[in-house]
Amino acid sequence: MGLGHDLQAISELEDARSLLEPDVFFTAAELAYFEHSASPKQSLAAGFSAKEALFKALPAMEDWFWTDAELVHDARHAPRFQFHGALAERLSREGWQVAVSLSHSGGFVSTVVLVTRAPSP
Amino acid sequence: MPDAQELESYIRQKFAENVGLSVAELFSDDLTLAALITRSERMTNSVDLMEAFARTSNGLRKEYGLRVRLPALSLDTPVSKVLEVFMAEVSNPGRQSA
Repeated sequence: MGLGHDLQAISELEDARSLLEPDVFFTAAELAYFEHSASPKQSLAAGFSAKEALFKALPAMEDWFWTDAELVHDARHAPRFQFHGALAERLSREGWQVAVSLSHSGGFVSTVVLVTRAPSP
Repeated sequence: MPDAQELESYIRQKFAENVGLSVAELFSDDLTLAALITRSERMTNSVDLMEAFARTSNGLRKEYGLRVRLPALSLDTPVSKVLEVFMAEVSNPGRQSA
């Protein structure tokens, strides 16, 4: 099991303009979601925080990119990760499942990510 | 298409410029990402670090039409490893920007 937590000040993302280029740190779909949310900066900070928490929760591994861990949301806006590339292959091979929880308060975003092994069939 | 040497030189220079250190200081000591944040007066956290690398990536797209994804690396990674990943990305024909 792996557990990662991240606390992110929303103000720290205010000048981060280069991170808004698609397919560099965030995917185009993530950036579109942030832009159309009620609070784009808060949403951007949540995306950054979620990836940081994921990194802390995963065992050490090289050769994956931040865009391989794409934060998506269901109809009720609950977040989850959709994985791509080498990271998706490794998670699938190892049978790992990833859960994410996000919270906002007082200019901060807090994220918890839990990585567990899927039960054997 | 620029050759590998030109691209590596560009990336080294832009890395240094964006983190606020000299090329020599950054690469001669092969600083880790943690040491880089400590030594740079311009950087205090991982947002600053990612923004600096994203600026380098965006420069490569504007100057050469190459798109570079940022790697997920721990803070004990030396900057030479980041350079290596950037070079692998720009050497991959599939990373050419539309």
